[in-house]
Amino acid sequence: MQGTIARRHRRLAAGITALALALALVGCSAGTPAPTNSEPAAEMDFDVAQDGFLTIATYGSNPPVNIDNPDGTLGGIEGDLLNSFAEKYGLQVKLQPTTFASMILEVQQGRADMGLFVYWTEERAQTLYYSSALLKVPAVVFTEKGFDYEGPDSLAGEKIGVIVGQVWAELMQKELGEDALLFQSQPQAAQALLNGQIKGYVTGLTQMFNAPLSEHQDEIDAHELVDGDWNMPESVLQNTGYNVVSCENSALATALDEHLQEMIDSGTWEETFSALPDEFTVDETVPPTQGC
Amino acid sequence: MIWPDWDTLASWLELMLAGLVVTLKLSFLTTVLTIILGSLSALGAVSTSRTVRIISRVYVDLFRSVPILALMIIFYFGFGPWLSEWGIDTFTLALAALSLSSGAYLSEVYRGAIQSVPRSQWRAAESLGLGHFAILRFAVIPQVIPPLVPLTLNAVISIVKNSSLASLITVNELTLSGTMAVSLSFMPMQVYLLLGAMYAAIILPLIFAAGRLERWVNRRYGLVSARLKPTMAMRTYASAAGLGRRDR
Repeated sequence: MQGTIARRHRRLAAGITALALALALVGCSAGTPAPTNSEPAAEMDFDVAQDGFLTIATYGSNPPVNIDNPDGTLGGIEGDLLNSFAEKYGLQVKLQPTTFASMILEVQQGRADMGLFVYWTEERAQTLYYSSALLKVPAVVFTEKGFDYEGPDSLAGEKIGVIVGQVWAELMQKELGEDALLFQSQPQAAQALLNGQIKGYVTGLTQMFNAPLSEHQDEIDAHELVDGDWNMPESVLQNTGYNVVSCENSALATALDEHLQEMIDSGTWEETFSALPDEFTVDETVPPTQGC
Repeated sequence: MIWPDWDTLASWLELMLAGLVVTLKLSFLTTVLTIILGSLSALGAVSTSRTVRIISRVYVDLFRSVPILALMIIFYFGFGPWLSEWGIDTFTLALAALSLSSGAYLSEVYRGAIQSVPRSQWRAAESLGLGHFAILRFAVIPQVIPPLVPLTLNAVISIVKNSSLASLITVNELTLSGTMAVSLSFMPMQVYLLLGAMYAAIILPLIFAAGRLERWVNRRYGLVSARLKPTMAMRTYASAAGLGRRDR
């Protein structure tokens, strides 16, 4: 199965790059400041950290979910959703780049209005309010091309990278101890893999399409994690991503969900979603169990 | 502010005490290497050989001009592919970056202390037929070591604090383990207060010791590295060379 995934990724690579570019262009056009139509902005019943802006904490591009364009605009399916949402309320999308671990704190402490594409955990749900489900992404371990991967045992004694704060970090640290290297950002971990400083990198499949791995797809393989790998529970093998807001600002998530529903009803969302590769699915566009 | 329950606190402590051990190990080894590098470089800076002086100058200027974090990133991501082939791990890279940088700073402190010994004392020792190394060993170094002890302790304090930068190249030291604890519990203020307390527990005794040592040195030898009191050996050299008190 793992070999099959690796082969499928090669076929997908060209397609998803084109899709990411198209979504980025949509994001660029939709991410321009302020509403351009003559319709009055909808009345906001939620708070924003900075007047006139929808401040979004992001831990870097995560194609095809979110693409942080160099000009500060947001692309990807998140760009489709949030640019039109901001426009509806007369806001301008403002990206606030940070690390994954800090992103959650930025939202929790109200310095950013929203965090992008966060998986659900019981602990996170106690401090963050989740919007509706966006996409389900399989967890994978990346290895260098040609590495004879036959499950976690084939990486025994090797250094494996994980990102601080991601759902796999604690589990891998408990399982591997010092062999689990904690990176602060995705590009750092990916670069270490390409450098040969780590033999494996556990994260979501989306990173296959993010730099620097996207530029070196012929040098790496992605192996989907299966139940029991490194004693991981099934709940972290297929992860649904949500946007998150602070518990005190749940009205923002509710407004976003309403906007998403409008996009679903108008067929816009299906159009965006149908262009995604088969690996990315969603069970139901609903929020998870809230813990706030 | 919400206080964590005991289970949460225990999980933080488990993570952070492991990080604390790494911080102490990294700081200790860095201190040893820093003192060695600083001493060798300072001796190189006052060497009679122009080549050695140039090598020492280049080392000091180069490593003082690059921030430690940048140095770590250069070592880890820049030279990473080659260094990992040689089996050099991230801890060693952090140790090298911290030691090279701190050693360059300490070298300047040591060089300043050595050069603060009046030239007349060097000449007095030379007049007895002592060579460069013998002068350093018997006349200069015994004088400068006591005032350098508190200054070196201050360098150790900087080393402990700078060791937190190693977290950015995956060394699982105290700061990184604190960040990990925050990412699991989402109680940043509480975790970071604990983190600050742990650093303070290491550094405050060092500050106290440095202060006490500095006062002791001031009482015993005068102002640190400014009014170095000649040793008995130096008085002997000076009187043998016929130098007056003012020349000393």
